[in-house]
Amino acid sequence: MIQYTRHILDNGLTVICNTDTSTPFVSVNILYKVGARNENPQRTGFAHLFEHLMFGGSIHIPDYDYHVQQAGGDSNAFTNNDYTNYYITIPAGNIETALWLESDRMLSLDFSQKSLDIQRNVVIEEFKQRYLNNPYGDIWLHLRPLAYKVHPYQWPTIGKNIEHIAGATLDEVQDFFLRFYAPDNAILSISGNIHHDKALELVQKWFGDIPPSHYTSPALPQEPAQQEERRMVLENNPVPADAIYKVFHMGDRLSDNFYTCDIISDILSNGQSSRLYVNLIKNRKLFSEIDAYVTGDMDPGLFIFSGKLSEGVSLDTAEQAILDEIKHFIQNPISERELQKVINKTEARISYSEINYQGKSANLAFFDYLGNIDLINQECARYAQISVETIKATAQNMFKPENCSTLWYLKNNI
Amino acid sequence: MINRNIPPVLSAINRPSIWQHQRVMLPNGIEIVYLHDATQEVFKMDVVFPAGAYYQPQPVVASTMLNMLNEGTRHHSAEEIAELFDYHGAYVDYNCGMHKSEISLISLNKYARPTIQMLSEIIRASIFPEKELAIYLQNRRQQQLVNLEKTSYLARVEFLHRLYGEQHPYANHFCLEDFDKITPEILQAFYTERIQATGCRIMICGNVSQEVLEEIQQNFSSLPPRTIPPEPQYDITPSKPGRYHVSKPSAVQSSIRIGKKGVQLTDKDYTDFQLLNMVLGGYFGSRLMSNIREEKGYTYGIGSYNVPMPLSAQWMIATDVNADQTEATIEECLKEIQRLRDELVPEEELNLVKSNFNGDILRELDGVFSQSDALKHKLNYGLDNSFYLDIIDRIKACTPDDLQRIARKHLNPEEMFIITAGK
Repeated sequence: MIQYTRHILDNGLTVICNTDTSTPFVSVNILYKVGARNENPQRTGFAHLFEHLMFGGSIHIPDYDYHVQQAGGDSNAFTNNDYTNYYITIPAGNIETALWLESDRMLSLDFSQKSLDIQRNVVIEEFKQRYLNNPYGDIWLHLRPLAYKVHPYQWPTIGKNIEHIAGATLDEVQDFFLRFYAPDNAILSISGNIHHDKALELVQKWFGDIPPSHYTSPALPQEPAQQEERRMVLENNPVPADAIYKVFHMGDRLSDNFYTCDIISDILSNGQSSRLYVNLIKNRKLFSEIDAYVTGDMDPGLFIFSGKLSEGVSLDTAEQAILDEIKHFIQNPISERELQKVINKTEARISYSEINYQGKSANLAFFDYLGNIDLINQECARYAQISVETIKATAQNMFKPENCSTLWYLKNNI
Repeated sequence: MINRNIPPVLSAINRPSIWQHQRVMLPNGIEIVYLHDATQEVFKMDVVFPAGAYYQPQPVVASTMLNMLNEGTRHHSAEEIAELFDYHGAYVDYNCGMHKSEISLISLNKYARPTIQMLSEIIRASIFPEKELAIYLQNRRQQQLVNLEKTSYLARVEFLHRLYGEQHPYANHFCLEDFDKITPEILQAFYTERIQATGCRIMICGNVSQEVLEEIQQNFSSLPPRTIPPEPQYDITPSKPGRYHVSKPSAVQSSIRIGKKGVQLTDKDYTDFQLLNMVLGGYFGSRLMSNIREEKGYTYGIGSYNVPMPLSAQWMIATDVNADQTEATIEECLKEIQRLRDELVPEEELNLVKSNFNGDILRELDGVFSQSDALKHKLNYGLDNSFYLDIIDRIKACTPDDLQRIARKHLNPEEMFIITAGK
């Protein structure tokens, strides 16, 4: 059970505090409600590029990192399709340094052409390192636009291509900042060795006078229900084994459907006693790796099967084996012991995750962003109330050919 | 309006408080070391054996033996073993090091009994079934084929070969055919020799309740003690320092490794060298990151690392860069090394690095699980976590002159291997 307090400042900034005296540190975590979903389709990768620029100096503080390091802190950030998250962990006595740094870059960045030029190159190298110079790295560049035709989830956070990143201008950077980087579009969460009254007082001191942007994001185009099966084959990739992906549309992170699908994916592939592992890797030896997992996005997400084929196995055989497992699941969805196993695993996972103060601060901000912060303490109950009948009906409804996109990723024939 | 031009006053970074560990010896020679934190509802145990790759009779035996422990015992099948851990929400992990190998369990206290019992069973009664072994080797082989596509992997392997010589265990040399030479008998022999009470240490942390302790004592007291063969000796046979290239024509980036012998944990220069390394490439604001990422934008990341091991240490710069900037990057790295030898590190920069280092240490010792990990490592050198307090004192005393002396002694470009993998 995670205890927390929650306040909203006059300028719209949400402030959440959790006291944890088991650590000498505090984590100051800021979630900005902007991700790749908010990008112009002609200028993708922008939210992530912007995250890099946030470390390039702010209006009163030319060198962000210098002050973090001098205070014994550690800082990082990530961007995904739904949001951008920044954090500093810092010895508790130096929390004001973290608040000073974060409030100054929320107030205004020091926009510079040089910083933009450099970070464009850095992000292009990141694109290459993760997506191009990495076996199987480009799969999601192809799979997303296959699964999504309308919703901005059709491009990955890094962007559709290098050209989009290369074309970003300083005007666009400024415009993006003014719209999205403001207190009324952010959630600040603090966890660690500080009393919540003290934390709130210091947040008020440093963030209280930052003006809100009053910007409202336009509603995103929602993905219409898929009507027919989609398939794509990518040949001649420099990889040692063929791979297959089958993805199905599912519900959003707050829906009951999410919890049901997560249970289904657990039974199918979480751990070495799961069905796919035992049947397809151990017994039938068709795959060297196989996974089933869910995306957990804000808007309706994907249920994904991904596998790497064993040598000599054809893609037809591999795909049929996945379809057989799905069919078998619908006919024999779940035993009492399997269900109990999933609930135990979830309970354990939540217990382990409460050990780390930084993880707690990030999760508090995330659940608040989802629209229900109390959910952080209700996850176990959400899983526990899913019935065997619901699981069966959900699987039956989701695992239909017309709801599926399939990608065959073939090795080269050398 | 608040004045934002004036930074908040910094407080000095506290010295970490070191948790006191407890020790219990079992009659068969197993040493139990534990750190108890009653506020946790979880415990973690690491069972450590002198069963690393250094001692294996032929390549890939140690890691295969370790990872096969849960693939079947005299009493349970692989599936039953996995089901028991999964059912109780426990995680089991296997870590094959150079000298030590570990089997780790994280479990909720309320399921301590069944999970400890099963962990003990896979350690005492493994049988390495042929069918499971064939699958494991096939999958390892495929994973290795993926690694061979990565320039970062190719550069790292080439560096280790040049530094230690292919035959030295620290080079960790193996080829795909080595997977075909593994049999259950070979694994069984290594298992019998190494997974036993002599030289075994069990680290426990988190909520180490009386029940957990008793369960572990009861289950591990029956592990038989056997004589361990004498420590094998190998000669280090490095290549001539200089440039080496691994060709991967399709690569869009080049992986670069620049390195040499590093400084060991027990060396009197250790702390000074760690500080020096941090200045060069050991943190986000390092000279290499500032120059090659933040000034020039050649790479997503660049860092330098000192990796101490019991018999020797290795030090290297590692980065993946835009293929066209390979030569320029190498030149800048060497320039930065030379600058550390020729010029004193400015006081202000040194103070920054000292603060950062102190923060890192506090973080490395934050909470009972981190303290246990740190202690586990130090015990291998006959040390404990008070080691960090000595380091903190030495950091404080270290001067720019000390760092220059260390740079001239340990970072001589003439002794370095410069490895590139890519076009």
